[in-house]
Amino acid sequence: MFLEMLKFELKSRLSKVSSWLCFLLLGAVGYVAVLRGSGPLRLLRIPPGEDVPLNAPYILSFLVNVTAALGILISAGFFAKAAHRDFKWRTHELMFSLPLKKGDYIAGRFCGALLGGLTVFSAIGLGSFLAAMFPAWNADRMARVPIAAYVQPYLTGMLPTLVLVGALSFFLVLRTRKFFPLYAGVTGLLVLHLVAVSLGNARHFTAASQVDPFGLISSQHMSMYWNVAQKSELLVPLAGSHLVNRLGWTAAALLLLTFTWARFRMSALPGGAKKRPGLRASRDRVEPWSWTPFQAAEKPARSFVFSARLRQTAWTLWTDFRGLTRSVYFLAILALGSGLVFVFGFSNVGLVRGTQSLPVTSQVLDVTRTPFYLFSLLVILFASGELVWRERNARLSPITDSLPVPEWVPFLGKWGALVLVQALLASITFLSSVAVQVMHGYFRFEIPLYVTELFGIRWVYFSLLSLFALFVQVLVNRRIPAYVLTLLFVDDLMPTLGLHHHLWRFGSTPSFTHTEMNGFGPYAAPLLFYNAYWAAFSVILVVVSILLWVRGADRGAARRIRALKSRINRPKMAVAAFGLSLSALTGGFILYNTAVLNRFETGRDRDRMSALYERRYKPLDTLPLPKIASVNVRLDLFPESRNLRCRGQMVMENRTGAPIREVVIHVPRYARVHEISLDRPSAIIHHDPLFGLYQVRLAEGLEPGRSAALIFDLEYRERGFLDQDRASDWSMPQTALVRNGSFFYNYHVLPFLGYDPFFRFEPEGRSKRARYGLPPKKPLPAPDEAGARGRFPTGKDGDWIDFDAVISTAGDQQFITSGDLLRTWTEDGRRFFHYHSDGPVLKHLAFLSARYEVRKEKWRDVDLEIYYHKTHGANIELMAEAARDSLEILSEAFGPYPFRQLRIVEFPRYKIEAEGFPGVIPISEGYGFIARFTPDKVDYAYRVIAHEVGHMWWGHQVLGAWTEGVFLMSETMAQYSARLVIERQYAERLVDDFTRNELDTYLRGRSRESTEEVPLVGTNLDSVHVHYAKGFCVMNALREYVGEKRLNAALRRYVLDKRFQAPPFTTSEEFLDYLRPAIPDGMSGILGDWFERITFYDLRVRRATAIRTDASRFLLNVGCSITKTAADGRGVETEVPMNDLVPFAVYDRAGKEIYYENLRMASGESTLEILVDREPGEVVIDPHFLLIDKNTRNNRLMVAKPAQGREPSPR
Amino acid sequence: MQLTIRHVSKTYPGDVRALRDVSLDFGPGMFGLMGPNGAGKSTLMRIIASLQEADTGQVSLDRLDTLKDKAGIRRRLGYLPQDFGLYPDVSAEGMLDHIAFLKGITDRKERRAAVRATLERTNLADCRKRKLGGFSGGMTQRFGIAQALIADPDLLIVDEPTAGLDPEERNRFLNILSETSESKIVILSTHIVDDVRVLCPRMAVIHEGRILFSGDTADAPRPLRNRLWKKTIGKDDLARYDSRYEVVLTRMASGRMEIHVSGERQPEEGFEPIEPDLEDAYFWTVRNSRPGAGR
Repeated sequence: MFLEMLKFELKSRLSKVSSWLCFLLLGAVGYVAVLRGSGPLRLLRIPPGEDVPLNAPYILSFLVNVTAALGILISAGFFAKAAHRDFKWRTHELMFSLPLKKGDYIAGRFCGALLGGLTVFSAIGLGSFLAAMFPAWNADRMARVPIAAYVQPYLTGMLPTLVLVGALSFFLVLRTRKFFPLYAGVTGLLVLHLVAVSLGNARHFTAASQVDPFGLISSQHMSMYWNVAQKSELLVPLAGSHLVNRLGWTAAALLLLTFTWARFRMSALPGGAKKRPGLRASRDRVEPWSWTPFQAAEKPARSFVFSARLRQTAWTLWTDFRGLTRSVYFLAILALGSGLVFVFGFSNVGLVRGTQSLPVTSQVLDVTRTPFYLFSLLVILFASGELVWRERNARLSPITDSLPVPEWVPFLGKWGALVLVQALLASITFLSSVAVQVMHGYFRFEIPLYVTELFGIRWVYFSLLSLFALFVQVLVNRRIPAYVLTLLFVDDLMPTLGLHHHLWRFGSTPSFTHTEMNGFGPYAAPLLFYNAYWAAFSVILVVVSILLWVRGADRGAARRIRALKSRINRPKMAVAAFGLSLSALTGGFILYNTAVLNRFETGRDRDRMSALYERRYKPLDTLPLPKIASVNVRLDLFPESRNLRCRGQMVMENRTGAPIREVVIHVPRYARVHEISLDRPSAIIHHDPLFGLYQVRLAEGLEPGRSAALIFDLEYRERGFLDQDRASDWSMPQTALVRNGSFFYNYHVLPFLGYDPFFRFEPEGRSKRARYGLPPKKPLPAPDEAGARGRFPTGKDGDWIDFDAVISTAGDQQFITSGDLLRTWTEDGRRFFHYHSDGPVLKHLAFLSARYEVRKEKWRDVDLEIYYHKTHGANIELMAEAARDSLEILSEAFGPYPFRQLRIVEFPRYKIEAEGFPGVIPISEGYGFIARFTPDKVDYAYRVIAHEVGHMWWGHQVLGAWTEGVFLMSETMAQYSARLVIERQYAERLVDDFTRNELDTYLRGRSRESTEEVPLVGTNLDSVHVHYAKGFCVMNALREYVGEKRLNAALRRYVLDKRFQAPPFTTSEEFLDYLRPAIPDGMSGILGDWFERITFYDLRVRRATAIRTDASRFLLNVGCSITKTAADGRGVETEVPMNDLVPFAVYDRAGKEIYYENLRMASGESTLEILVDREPGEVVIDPHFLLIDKNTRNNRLMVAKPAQGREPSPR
Repeated sequence: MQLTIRHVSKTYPGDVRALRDVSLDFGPGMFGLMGPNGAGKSTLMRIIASLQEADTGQVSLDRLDTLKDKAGIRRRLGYLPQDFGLYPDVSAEGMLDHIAFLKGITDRKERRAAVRATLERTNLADCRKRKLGGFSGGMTQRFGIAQALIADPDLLIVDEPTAGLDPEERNRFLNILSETSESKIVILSTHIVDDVRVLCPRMAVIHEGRILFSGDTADAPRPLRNRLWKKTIGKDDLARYDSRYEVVLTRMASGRMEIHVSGERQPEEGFEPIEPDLEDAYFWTVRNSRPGAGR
């Protein structure tokens, strides 16, 4: 019987057109996802490095796992239909009267649906297999992958998830005999996954990987530290926390199934013999036939006028809304939604490195945006399916379809009901967010902001999405394929098809950031107009949906088209024409703004541009170039009109050995050039407006040692709005000139000289360069390449400059840049500032203007100023302390601070970062100003400031040449500076936490390496994880091994020798030469191991026992194994001999350190005996994470209770 | 008021010909549409009720072309489908109120009065607050006629309403139908001869998509008058009679079998002449349409 049930179920599943539609869609997704290296779904985005095959096993595994998770939309439907089938068709009484065991009944249906689901989902594997076998493009990036790589994720990912979804569906449907509870169940699974994500964000990885019902997090955890070689070959193993997750959830699923089976009764009515009261009454009572002759009452008045139609629409809306929301399961969905807000609101607000921000409204809104997007999307999908099919599922459609209402009444009613549901969700978000704020003790609710974002933006978007979902349901007329199509479409289908402009993506607007300083700023206008456009467009969609609305018994495509034709009439055409003209109008206006007033560029366009630049102008790279010696600038910023005028002159000096006849001058893109000229006879021989390039020939050559002035007058004016932000190639971003919180660099506004890939990015990456026929290139030149040591990272046209700026801004704003503030005055209601640098400064300057509050103090003779937004004063005392401590500690360590001021300046959180400029440190409002620091976490603002102040030595005094390893002397050393400073503020445990995080960042970073990992000495442009994270670890270890004093002495010597250096500039190798003498004898290998090679240690404590030797002493016997390996760029490791110092620590039962020693260890297993004078609790190798070890968990072991002499232990 | 059907044909995918050139006329009063299961009754009803398109032909209610002007026919229509469901968690009153609103009774007072009157008329007033999920088959069917009648339609279509009802419920239902105003066109489709006999002055027999008979109910048996014979036989003998005579119907009575046979004269010993009734006429019509029937 079991087999019969199974066969029947499987057959009916596979005979459905919708199953095969899903199969085809999923197959296409699999094919495209693998080929693109990223799926059509944003959620499937996988970024494989260039050397990792696109069909690498870990990618296949990820693809299948994510499909299984997202596929709950499909699979839950399959299972629920299997469970619901007999109740829906009322065949259950028939089935249950058969000689059929309930076990066979449930298991048969379950397994049938499971096999059906597996069949449909096999499409994703099949699609990726086809992509690997017959790639339409990217053929060179496919590898031969064993079939096991396709099969294994189905066994470890898909199958357990399907079983879980099935168990839940069967539980809900068989218990209630209804379909609706399923929605709550599926939403619950999604919410659980999102909760796991939020736990992961808050760095509770163990909990996160266990809570996630889909095992996505734990599976990604397995390959987290993989390098290129491992990624290309290994299958994601089912082990560790991943194994626990899969086993745990499968066990839970089987338990749930067993419970469902145990409680299931094959009875006509749910809940066994208990009858519903209504039914009993109707059966038992013989109703007396009271004869009430029908009076020929007058016909009830009926109305078919338009206003009556509107009232009917409102009526339907309310009825459908009530129909959706009456269910207790809908309340469950709402509860899940607000739970989601709570979970994210409590643990994820404004997260930076595990620290949250104050729950300011914009941050609370931010944190709920993504999870709530998924949540609302799910609700929309379900509700749209439910509503479109509501009458048909209840078999009421023959009645309702013949009612005298036009199609638009039910359609608009249903849309309205969905819109109302979304309003409910928005209100829930609002209330929960406010509740979260209150519980955090935060009371500055910004109700207008809530209303704007929740109702003005999200509600509108979700209402549009609801319409779209309804439209697809109506169009496809099959519930589950419609879900899949809608999901694909609202996600990334259009960009996948090459249509990038938001005008192609129904309901979408350009992405936006709300900042405390600048509100919606430049995004307000596009949000408004795109929404207007979509509102107009939705009118058309409504008309089409009405024409397609399924009514009556004819449901074939041909019949529906015929019905559609018969439904076309004047009013509908008029409404459609109205919508069309309105959307043409608004769409035209958007196009005018985004493509005429501004440039619309896709990533491809940008690549093409930079390829063109390189091909056309690379020859100019070798032209001798004068250097900019001083900059004199007059900047007038008009924040209200987002307008900037930039005039002045730059003195160029010929520091080459030969006369210079020709200069290449660039003006930043989007600059309007009023004047660009030299102070001597010259002619522009070539002008390329596309790249803002001028080739100028001097009438008389500029002799060596002589100078000329470049005179410029440029203007920048933000006009209209953009569809996507501009490229990051030093074009002025749209967030640079804003009403409050303007922030731009010298590169954005000042001309620069020469062909410089730093400004107009050459295309990067092997395959991209190959696509444009460009030869491969190294991101940075090697130090010994000709001319490589002649320039800084900050531009080849200058290094140290004299700087003088007269800048003006709106009367209520302050304009800040580097240099002494000589004078400030007000003129015509505008404020003027005259800044002047006393000594040389790096040609790397920032300009910031906003309405600031200022906190000022003096540290020795340095003006310490913090400029902040008026409501962001929470952390400025901490910041001031950080600045003071940094100045004190670092000037002691590395020599004098070079400037007379240190300005910490807040800017809007369009970027979450901080950066050091000469005496000026701009910090994002989202990077410390509104952070909520707690004693148990590193208050990162302190560390960030220490890091940036470190740059005042490492960057603004000493800077390496623009070659491999240049970041060792800037970023790594700024990290080391921070390490020196945080010592004063943080407890040892927090420093350890931070170190472990840096170690983790490094290991994860190297796993995302696109080609090869480089050692620290050769750290490269994109090796951020090397020079920041590994750099921190290595310098931290070096400080521990060498001693802070000794190390700092060497570093100070280096700074004194190299500060404000003229070319040739210093390199990382030279830096190491300065360190070398400081390394004590017997450790000479560490510079090579840590800086010049990629070295890993594997440290393990195997066993630890102790015996009491006398009254107070214990002899500890520790077995450990130690391995040291060297890795190549791809990550292939080979063991190397070892004779290094390794720190060992012993803690007592209370966690107090009772032993710490560096012991010289060789590779392999060894046994140590350590005598301690307190009862040992735990043995730890390298407790402070000095050595780079991929698994630090096995570095520690609890010591077994010491045996006392020969007596048996008490237990 | 006149409903006219002219040359309506309908073919389903797979070349299933549901209606073949059907022409019928309906005037005020009850009209019985009889036919076995699958004869095309429901298709015809749905076409009239605007729920399906005809491939060819016209349907008009007076001057209204109902195939084109669906909105027009829907305003004048009350339709009780053969198979329908109701929201189980809504009360009878609520559901009827909802339908009344959509039928255009947008005025609250009017609607309330109409709902109450209709519920009383269908004897559902006592259980108006009860959820529809708890309704028995008969109550559901009565609710079905209530929703069809609520806006006092000109054209009432009831598709096999008495199938599956117990005799008492069936009576009640027929009572309600008989109460409907004389001025309406009421089309009752059924395969139960008694329903038509009791209620419908006019009728048609449809079989395999064709109209075999249409006219006054009283006229239906006329062709069989003086040509119908009855005999009570043993069950085992049926095959023998069936092969030799034109058996119109067989009927079991107290374990014995009664057969009606048509013929000009007495077929054999033991047959006695009887007066044909509607049932005989119906079965005779249906049988005669079969290919090879009426040897």
